[in-house]
Amino acid sequence: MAQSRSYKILSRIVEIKPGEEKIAIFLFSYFFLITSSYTIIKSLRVAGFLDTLGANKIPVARLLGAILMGFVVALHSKLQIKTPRHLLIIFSLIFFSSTGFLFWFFFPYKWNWLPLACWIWADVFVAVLMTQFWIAVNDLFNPREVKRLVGFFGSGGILGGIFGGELTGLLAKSNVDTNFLLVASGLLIICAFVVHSLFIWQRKNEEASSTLQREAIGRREEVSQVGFRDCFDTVRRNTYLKLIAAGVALTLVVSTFIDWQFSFIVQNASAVKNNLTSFFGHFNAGLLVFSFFLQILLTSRLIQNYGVRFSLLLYPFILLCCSMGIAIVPLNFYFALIIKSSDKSLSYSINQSVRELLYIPISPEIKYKAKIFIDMFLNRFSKGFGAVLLIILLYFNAGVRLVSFVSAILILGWIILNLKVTREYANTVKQKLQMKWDRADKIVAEKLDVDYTKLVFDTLESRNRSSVLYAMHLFDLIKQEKLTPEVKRLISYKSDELKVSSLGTLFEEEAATVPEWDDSIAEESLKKDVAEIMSLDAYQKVMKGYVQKVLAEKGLETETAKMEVAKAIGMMDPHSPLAEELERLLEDESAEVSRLAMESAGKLVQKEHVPAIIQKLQSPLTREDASLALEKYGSKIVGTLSDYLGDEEEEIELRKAVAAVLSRVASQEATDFLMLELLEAKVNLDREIIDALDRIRSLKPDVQFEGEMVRLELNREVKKRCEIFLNFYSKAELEKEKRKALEKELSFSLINIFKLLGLIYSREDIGRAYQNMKAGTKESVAYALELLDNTLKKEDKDLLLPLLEDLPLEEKARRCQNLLRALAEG
Amino acid sequence: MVIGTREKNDVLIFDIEGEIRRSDITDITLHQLVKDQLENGRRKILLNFEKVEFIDSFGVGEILASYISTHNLGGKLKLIKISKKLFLVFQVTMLTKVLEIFDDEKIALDSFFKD
Repeated sequence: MAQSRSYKILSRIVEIKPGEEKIAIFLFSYFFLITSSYTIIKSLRVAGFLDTLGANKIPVARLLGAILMGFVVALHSKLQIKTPRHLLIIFSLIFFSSTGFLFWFFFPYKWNWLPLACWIWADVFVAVLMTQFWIAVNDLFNPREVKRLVGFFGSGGILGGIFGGELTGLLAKSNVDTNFLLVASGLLIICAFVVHSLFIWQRKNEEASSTLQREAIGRREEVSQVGFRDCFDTVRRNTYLKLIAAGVALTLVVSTFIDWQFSFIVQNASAVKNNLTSFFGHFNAGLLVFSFFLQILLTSRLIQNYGVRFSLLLYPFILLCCSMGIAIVPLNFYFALIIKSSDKSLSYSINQSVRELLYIPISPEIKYKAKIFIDMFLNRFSKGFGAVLLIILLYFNAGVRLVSFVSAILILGWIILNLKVTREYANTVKQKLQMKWDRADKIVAEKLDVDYTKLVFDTLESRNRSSVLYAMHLFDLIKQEKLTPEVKRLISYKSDELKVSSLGTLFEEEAATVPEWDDSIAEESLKKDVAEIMSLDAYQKVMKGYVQKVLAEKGLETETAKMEVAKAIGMMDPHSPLAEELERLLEDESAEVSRLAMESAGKLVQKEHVPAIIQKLQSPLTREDASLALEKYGSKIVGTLSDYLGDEEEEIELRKAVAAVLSRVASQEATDFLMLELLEAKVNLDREIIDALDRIRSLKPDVQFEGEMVRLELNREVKKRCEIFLNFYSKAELEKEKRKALEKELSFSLINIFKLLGLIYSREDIGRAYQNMKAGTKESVAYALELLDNTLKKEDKDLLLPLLEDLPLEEKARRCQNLLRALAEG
Repeated sequence: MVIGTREKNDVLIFDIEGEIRRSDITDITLHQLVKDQLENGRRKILLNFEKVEFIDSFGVGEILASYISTHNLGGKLKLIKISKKLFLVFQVTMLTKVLEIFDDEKIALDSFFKD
């Protein structure tokens, strides 16, 4: 893809993907223009108010502003129902631009109420336009994109603040130079054009995106909004939103306290008390410049590298340290300077960006109501509430030290809230991702009794083969108490069609017909009778002769007779003389005979049969029956199985099947052997062993996996994946078949990586992430990555996220090379 | 047992003919055939049982193993046109709780895209 010049420039300062440069510039400009015009208006409103009404009336203005905000929230919510988002924003910009013009026009009349109206108007202005800006960001981006780009477009806002402030400060010709209202109005009109272009770009982009993505974007518009009450209820009913709201409220209360502490300490500081105006001027300008660099250079990097939790805790933690510092040394000018600059700079940059990120995974219909309530109303209410608290404290003669203590307590509460919010954030991201499937062997094990199913089929099949075998299968069903009325009806189905195909010579004369089920047969007595007969010495002696005769015959003619013997031995005592013949039956050339012998071996559970059964794992005809029989032995043959697994002279298919059997045993010992073999395997058994471990993890969540060993294998898999990818990337002219083979390898290496992760993290979370990455839409991939980002430890994130991020091939290849280098260095 | 393959709307259909039983398997099993297709990236598989006369416990194992392999990779494996008698056995043994079985090929094909 040809890269634009703006991309080349922007990519030096922000982690941007090709094609994102336009939207980044649009949002930067949008934020710049609204904050610069607000800063101009803010200066004018204070100057105009003080000039006409005086400082004493400011609390009245604040109170009226807060009351009016409730109505604004209700009105804005209603307008949102009827108006598409872009029209509402453009309409708002034009409204504030034209009202700004009206203020400019009427200011010379010097009406007393006008500065008050201007004050309240500016409050509404900032609440509406800022909320709309962040809602637009929520509409346009997923969390991954916000993390990368917020540093850039967020800095537009701070730069707007610097620009607006400096413009007013440098060019104002009188105490209240209302001509600047015209400048602000003009900036808002430019902003309306920027917003219009932004939405045209978005529409074009949507048309080019897949149907699925369009649907997702479309859903954002289907929001039903009502009034203030509904917005309030939306927050009240949702734990996550309540936590965000409480966090916002505490932030602003603490900020009010810090404001007072700073003013108080600075007022009494000998270094600056004679030149306060100059000090505040330099300090505020410096603060904004510092915030700008913090935002553009650090915010995105910090959120991306250290995650939401760290970024959200950084701000209150620094304030807590400073508050404690002031509590210990109450009038220290430098502590006051640090706390104030930390508060403002972090609040404008990192805190604002992370807080907006928290809203992104919330469903649109909830998010917009919540944002309107929190950003427009709660924001102002909390500042007022903070002021009231402060007044109460001061009324009781609280000094800087006490206010600092109260502040520290509030910050501790805020830190706890932030910890809870980040936990809820991960859950909210998780809820965005559906678990599309689980291991089918687990589902089959839960819903089906495979032994019983096979026995029913064997019973039906044996009706055409042998009445003896049929009777034995029926008896087996009785023993397992599975001969239900449904099964009885099933086996009686068209019984007149049954023919006797082959019968053992000993029973030939008796077995003229296939026995049908008779309800008068007492099942308990039948079980007892059969057990007694089979344990008789005389029976064992008579049958021994017959069995040896059958076994001595070669060829398939005696197959049915051998099958009958193989089945019968499973009903005997493991130490009976006839059981000794089972080994020969296990090795029989007929798969039908050997599988019934394996079934019996699974019942007798004698160690001497294990090697013969293991050999049967080689053939696909007997593999499943051999696995079932070995599974019945349980953990006592884990050592033997592990020997086969590690024996490089054994057939690879046999070793793969042994890995699967160990996963069926699913004991801690079996897991440990599989892990060891995974790390030591010289032949390529990775896929089968990792799959076996994943199966164990799904069946037995309490089995422990050694994190260090899993991570060693994870490193190997990552290395392998990087090598395959670089091979794939570097050979563009590779034949189609070879490319396909490499793609296949990449796909399986991804499965292996996620299965390994599932061993050391919540298997369900990792499964969700994998399945949604495979779904392939931009949205599902982004949320899958966000889930991993919030789930994995930093060391694992650093290893895996560079491989999984949706990036251009060139960038992916670069990251693979970096990873390979890092892995080689250890 | 003879297995033919064809493709419709991205769904791979296995037309099975004869009996799926241990004694009739010669060189390759149904499960192996399914696994080969999964390796090639296929994820929607339909087993047509219209011409299947009988299956034994080995056949059931093959169907279940194919189902497990397909679903573990996020795919779907379904069955069509099994005989009334076989369906009865599937019901009694509760295989119908796990396997999706259809009478009509078109409905079965559509179902892959409705999931």
